[in-house]
Amino acid sequence: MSVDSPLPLRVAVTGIGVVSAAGRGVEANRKAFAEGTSCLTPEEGVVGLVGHAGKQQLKGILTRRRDKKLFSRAAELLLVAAHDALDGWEGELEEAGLFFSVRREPPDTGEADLAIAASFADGDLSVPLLATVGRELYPPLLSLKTLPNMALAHVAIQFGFCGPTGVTAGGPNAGLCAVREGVAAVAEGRAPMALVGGVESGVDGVGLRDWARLGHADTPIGEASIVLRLEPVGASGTKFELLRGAIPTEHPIDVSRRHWPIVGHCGCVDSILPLINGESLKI
Amino acid sequence: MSTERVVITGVGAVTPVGRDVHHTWRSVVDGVSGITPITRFDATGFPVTFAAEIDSVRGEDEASIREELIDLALAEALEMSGDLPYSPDRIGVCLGAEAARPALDLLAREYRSNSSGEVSEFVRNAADAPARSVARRIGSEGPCTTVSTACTSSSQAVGEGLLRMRRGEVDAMVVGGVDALVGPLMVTGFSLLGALSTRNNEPSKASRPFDVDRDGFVLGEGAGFLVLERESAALARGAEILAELSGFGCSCNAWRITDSPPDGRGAAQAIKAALEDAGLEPSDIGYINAHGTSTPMNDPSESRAINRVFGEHRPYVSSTKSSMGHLVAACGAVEAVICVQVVRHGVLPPTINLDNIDPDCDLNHVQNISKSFACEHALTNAFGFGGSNGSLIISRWNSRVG
Repeated sequence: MSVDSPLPLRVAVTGIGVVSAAGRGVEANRKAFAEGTSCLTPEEGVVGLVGHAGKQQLKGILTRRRDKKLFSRAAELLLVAAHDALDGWEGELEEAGLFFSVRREPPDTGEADLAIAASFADGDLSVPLLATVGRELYPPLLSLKTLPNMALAHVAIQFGFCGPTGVTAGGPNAGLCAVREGVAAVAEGRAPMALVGGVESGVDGVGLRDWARLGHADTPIGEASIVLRLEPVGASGTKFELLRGAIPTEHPIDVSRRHWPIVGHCGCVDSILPLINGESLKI
Repeated sequence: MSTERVVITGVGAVTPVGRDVHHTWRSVVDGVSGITPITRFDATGFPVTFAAEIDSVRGEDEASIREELIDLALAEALEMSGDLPYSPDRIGVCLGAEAARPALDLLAREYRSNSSGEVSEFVRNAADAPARSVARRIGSEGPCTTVSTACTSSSQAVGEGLLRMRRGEVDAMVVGGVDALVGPLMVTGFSLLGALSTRNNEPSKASRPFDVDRDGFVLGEGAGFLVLERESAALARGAEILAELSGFGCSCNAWRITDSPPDGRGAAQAIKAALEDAGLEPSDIGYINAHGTSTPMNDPSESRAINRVFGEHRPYVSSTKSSMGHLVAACGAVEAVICVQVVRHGVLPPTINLDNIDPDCDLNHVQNISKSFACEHALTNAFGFGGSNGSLIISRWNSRVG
């Protein structure tokens, strides 16, 4: 797609946080990609291998620990990646932006199963039972926890981001859209800094079922989060500059199938992961 | 960045108070309530038995209701705008939406068999399904984005559309939002959060933003669309310009997941950003269509945000959620459409059921009865769970020099 009017500022990546089945940090992931080492593992009850990112250490990251009960898996992964991308940042966050992509559907990992199961009568879900017994068993915070923007909200709250925000939903296309919105926010001067990226957390019962439903059971599914810190070019610690050019349309683009055997298919994060492998990315 | 104005050449809406923009507008101006006992399922036994449903739409599940809503509202917006004479890759789509919940019988089947359903079910329930549907319907091959920030979704989607137009990425954008939440799972979830009004004996009085007796919001369903073009292109093709989309601002509270900061600072930041974006002063705003959810928490916080920004200048304020309930992912777009009508017709819709103004919501309310007022610039707010804030400014076309 052509661009008529250039953005006023050029945008640099000044920090990267990444967590995937290959581990936490750019070096661990880059090494796995460079060496082609598969990080997929068997998962109990699952046919085939999955890219599980493992238990995340949140100690030292959280400023408000009481929110932990509201964290979905996506929130945990995004918090870790965001924390690492912020490493070395000493500026204010009052006007800093957040632009993330999330998986296709809210990460309901089956927490409502008990309530649903209790609402069955004669083999069918009974609305009157759901209103009574089911409701009593329904996790009271689930509706909040599974909203698509909650992972971003936790990053904002834990670190104090108050600037422009956006959450895009969808496949690999959504990852690029989120990066692109963040680039524009920094380039247009609407935010002095922005964290951009995405999170995918489909390695759970519901995620694996949906994955199979899509007919992809033979492709390993993974979970990952990657976050880039963007600042105007010239800021200290510039790692590389983001170019602006083509933008994908609604159709997901398979820019990164090569990492599927290593960390699995990571949905909206797929389109951003190649950055850590030194690949250029047009957004 | 282009400094050319971005104008609105088509609007469409289907809401609990009207099957199109005209009927919705008449209803909100006349103070009609669209809140009635739930008919989509047997709500007996639930703590909340009413909602803002759209009677004429009878889809089998949330996804099919969404599609019907898109059908109606998009057709209206496109009929108003007329054919868009642009290359398909220069027409973009940006919608606010969330994933749809599966129908209970489908859910039951999945639980019984512990297996997967049809691929088509998964795809049609996805959050980005409405945007894909709109792109398909209009033949768009340009950027297609879904914004999912809860109640702020479609406000931000409209704003993102504005930014894309200014950047010259597209020649036209179809922006808006859709949501259909009136189902047993959503009523269960939101009632457990304590967010819904439980005024079961008086549904039409339940949504009462800024009133001392408010007790929560009312779930609703609906869709709203706006067609955006550059002013010169719209004029060149002889399109009727309805209004200008002049400003957008968004922010994050960084406060708490469920609550707004009592001092309204995050919301104030979004309002200020929208004013700055539009190149306007607070005194230029004549009317605010407030987020005004009717929850004990939101309304005073929003009131403080408004007073913080506007100070002595007290623009008129109302919340049309009092009539049509909370359309969640669609509310920002539908309320932007209301603001288009405000600047076109010079009438301010009221907040109904505002019998006793909460002293903590000290604003210049349009209380219960509509008001004639030649409004040049209207602002609409949308705030979401998790602390996302979005503000849009709609200006009367040609009300600005230069």
